[in-house]
Amino acid sequence: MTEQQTTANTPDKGIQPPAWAIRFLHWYCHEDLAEEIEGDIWEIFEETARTKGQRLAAWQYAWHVLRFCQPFAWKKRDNKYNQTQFNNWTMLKNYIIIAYRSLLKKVGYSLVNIFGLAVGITVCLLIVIFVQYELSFDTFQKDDVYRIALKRVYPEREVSYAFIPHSIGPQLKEDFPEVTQSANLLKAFAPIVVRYNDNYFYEENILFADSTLFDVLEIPLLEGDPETALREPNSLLITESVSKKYFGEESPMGKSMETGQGNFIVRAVAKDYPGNSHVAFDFIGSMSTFPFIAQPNWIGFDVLTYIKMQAGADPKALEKQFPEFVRKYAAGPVQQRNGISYDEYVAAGNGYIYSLQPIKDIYLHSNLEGEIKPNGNITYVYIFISAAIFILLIACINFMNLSTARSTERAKEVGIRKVLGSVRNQLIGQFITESVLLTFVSFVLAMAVLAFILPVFSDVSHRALTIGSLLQPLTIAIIVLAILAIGFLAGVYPAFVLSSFQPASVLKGKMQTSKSGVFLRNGLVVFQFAISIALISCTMIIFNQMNFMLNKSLGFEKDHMMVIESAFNVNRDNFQNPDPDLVQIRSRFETFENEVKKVQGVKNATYTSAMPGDVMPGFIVRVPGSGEKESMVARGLSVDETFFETLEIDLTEGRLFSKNFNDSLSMILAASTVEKLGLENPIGKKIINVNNGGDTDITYTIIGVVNDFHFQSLHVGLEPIAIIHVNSPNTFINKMVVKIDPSEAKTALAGIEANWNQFTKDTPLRYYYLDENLKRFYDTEKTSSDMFTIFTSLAIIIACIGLFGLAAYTAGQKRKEIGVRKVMGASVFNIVLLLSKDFTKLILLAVLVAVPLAWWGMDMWLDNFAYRIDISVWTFILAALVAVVIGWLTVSYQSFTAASVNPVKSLRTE
Amino acid sequence: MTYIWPNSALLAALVNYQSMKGTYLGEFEELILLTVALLKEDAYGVAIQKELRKKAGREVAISAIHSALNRLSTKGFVASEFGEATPERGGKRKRIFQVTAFGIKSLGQAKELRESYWTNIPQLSIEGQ
Repeated sequence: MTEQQTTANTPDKGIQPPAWAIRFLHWYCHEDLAEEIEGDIWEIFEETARTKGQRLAAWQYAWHVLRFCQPFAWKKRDNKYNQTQFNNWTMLKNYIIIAYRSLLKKVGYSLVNIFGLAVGITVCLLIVIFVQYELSFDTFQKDDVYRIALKRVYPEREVSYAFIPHSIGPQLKEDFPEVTQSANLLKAFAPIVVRYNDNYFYEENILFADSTLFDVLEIPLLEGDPETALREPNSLLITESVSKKYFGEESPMGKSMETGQGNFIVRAVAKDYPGNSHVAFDFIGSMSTFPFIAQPNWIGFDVLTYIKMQAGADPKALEKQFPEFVRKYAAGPVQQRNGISYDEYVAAGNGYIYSLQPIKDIYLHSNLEGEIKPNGNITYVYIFISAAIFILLIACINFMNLSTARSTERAKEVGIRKVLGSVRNQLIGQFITESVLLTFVSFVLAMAVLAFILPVFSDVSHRALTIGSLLQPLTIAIIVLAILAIGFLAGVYPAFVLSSFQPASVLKGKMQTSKSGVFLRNGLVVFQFAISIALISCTMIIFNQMNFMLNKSLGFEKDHMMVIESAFNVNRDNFQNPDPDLVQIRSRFETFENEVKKVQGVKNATYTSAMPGDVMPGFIVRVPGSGEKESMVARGLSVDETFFETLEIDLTEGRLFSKNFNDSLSMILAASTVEKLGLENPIGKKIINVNNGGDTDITYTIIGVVNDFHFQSLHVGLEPIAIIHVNSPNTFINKMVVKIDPSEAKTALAGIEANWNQFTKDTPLRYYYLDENLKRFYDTEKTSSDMFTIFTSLAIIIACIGLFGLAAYTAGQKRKEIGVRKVMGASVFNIVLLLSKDFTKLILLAVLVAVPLAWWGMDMWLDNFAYRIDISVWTFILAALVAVVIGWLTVSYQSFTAASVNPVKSLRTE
Repeated sequence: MTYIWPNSALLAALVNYQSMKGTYLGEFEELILLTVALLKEDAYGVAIQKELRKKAGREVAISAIHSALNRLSTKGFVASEFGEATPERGGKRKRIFQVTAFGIKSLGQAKELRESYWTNIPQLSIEGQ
């Protein structure tokens, strides 16, 4: 029955199993078994095709082929002459001895080889340590804790803030059961002088927090009760090292510390906070100290808010409810402030978009305005990981090239071994053992180099990196595996090439060079140089952009500007609160300013609420009568009369603040702000400052327009800015800027300090130079460009080592040719040219590969900046030139040696 | 360290150990072996699969059968030769298996072993019902 059907179906050639499956079967399957297996599954195939359809049959066939891919069916590589189980260990010993001898035979080569690989491994380990450190941030924090981030959308721009209105956190806890706790956190924006008895210091890392802080952040206390530590106003938590600094061996608990903000009682001592957290503090004061925190606030951004959610609660689900939540609570205040309904306000292009950031991701994934300290960047982590992989690849390729280059010498050994009965597998084993051994030696060397280089690298990367992070069991296991893998990868190609030699021809002295081998080696050189050239061009572009940012005219003079911090202390006496009489305060400030101006070497001095580089508070302005939509959130700055003169910001229209006028209700705008407000003939126009709190709005008159100046980093574009006088209501003085004659800097500094000490008591002078401070904007870029420079140089060194080896190989191959050419009258120069020509071609090919890659990558990077350079073709031409020149220098040594050999010597050996 | 050439006693022990390990007959292997014996000159992969389906009601992958046959053949329980080429099966020959004398002996031993257990526990089948 079955047979009849089969015979009937046989002529139908349409039924065929998938060809690829058959091919795959024959690829892996042992010849002896292939026929019966194929026959059996073919039989099943035909039956299924008949009964259940061809499609299913084809799938089933492929499935059977896959199922048959088991060890018993595989092709066997070994034969019965290769069963060396009894003396494996002896052979291994022999391999090691031979490896050692061949290392010593050509010490120079071996050193170059080991050194190249060691450099590659060092770079890799450095990056492993760096990446481990970056990934270790906040891993110790509690689960299910999120920070609330805010994207504030304005009609013409967006700003992302870490700080949000302080009523949101507590209300979330009340409205949503999945939010189990919330805590607000605030960073003191200016350094504060703290005193206990005779010890007083400027302190920078001061936070203020709710008493619930310990539920959201992991802060182990040494003394004090987390329940009560931050509950009362004027409570203080200090760290262990602060306690030592102020109190020595005494217990700090219950002691009172004086600050300009009042006295605080120490109620808790915490361990020093780990450096690998996005949070950093020396002091935490209780948030209840500030009366404003008791007032509801839905639209003014003032605190960082952390919430803890129920285990396993979905943050995305909570985020979806935020828009409704915002409407419910913020609509009223928005309407009250702007005079239009919330819907109209949103329709005009405004919005508050809140989102949740998992606390463990903040360091690498968040870069908002108002972070507690500068964060890292996951992109750089990826970039460095790929750099590590590429550099290791270059080093491995080197190793391969150098080993194959040496095959000329090893060929005889291979020949003899084969004649004496070695089979190919043994030879492969030998060469792989050798390369694993070399890798191990390189690794030991790399560890030694690492011990020296790590402190330098720590400095460059601004991170506390230690070799200790490599000593975890998992990392050690990975490293051991990596050594084996690198050794195997680097050794596998030479092993196959060397073991493939025909003993007869090798022993006759004939060397085979296969077309594919040459192609592969050249390909590898192109690959190496492409990476190097790409790295060189990237480094140059990063440098150019850095230079551009540091030297771009910012619209104000930044050199030789000394900025005195906490200049309001001039008005303080012995930590008493400032004199409530405004006029008297001003007069004391003025006297100090005049005294400072008299100091020799001081060109000018001025008070200001903030300097470029500081976070400036939002300042809501509205043009009266021109429709309520025109209200705009600008940045507010209050300055005194000499500010523009001192910073050399030019006036374009109207007048500056002057002592001859009462300027307490005058305003000066930057040119672009005027444009954004849509004002024509702005002088004399009114501007309303809308107040967040309960205070009434204040109307200012525009008296002047100044040129734009960049008060933020060049990552962002110009934001609108409104400048008012320090005499205005609701302003404050924070800093004093002193312009100094660089030739008399020392005298000026001494004079200023003497004056400062006269006007203040128990308050040290603290200052910085503006240009130094502005550079901090680009710290991340500077760090990565420094690291990039190091890696680029190393990559080039390793690539050159590879080229050196290859040049030696080629010269060895062309020995006879060179001899003949010399006899025929070629000069040394001709021959050097001949040998260098090939490499030049390869490097030029590498340029073609590298340029588009580098161009693409760098263009993306430059898009991070609001002000960026254009990539110039010259960068790439220069990078290519550098690569070619370095390549030529490397090759020329080999070429000259080869070219200057007496032709008799090279032709005699036949 | 001096190298000690394995003496004959050691070698014999090794060989013994290897053969002990090799002659073990698993349940599945036994089933296959019995099927081969049953099918006689028609004992090849697909036929064995069908027979197993029919007799034992077991759905076994063809690859598992080949793998088991391969094991049986290395242990020396079965011998095999190619059958004639036929137009079906894409023109591929069948490999016809045959139980060797050693295989038959092992089957017998396995049966005896089992029976010896059964005779020692005669009441089990009664109480079970």
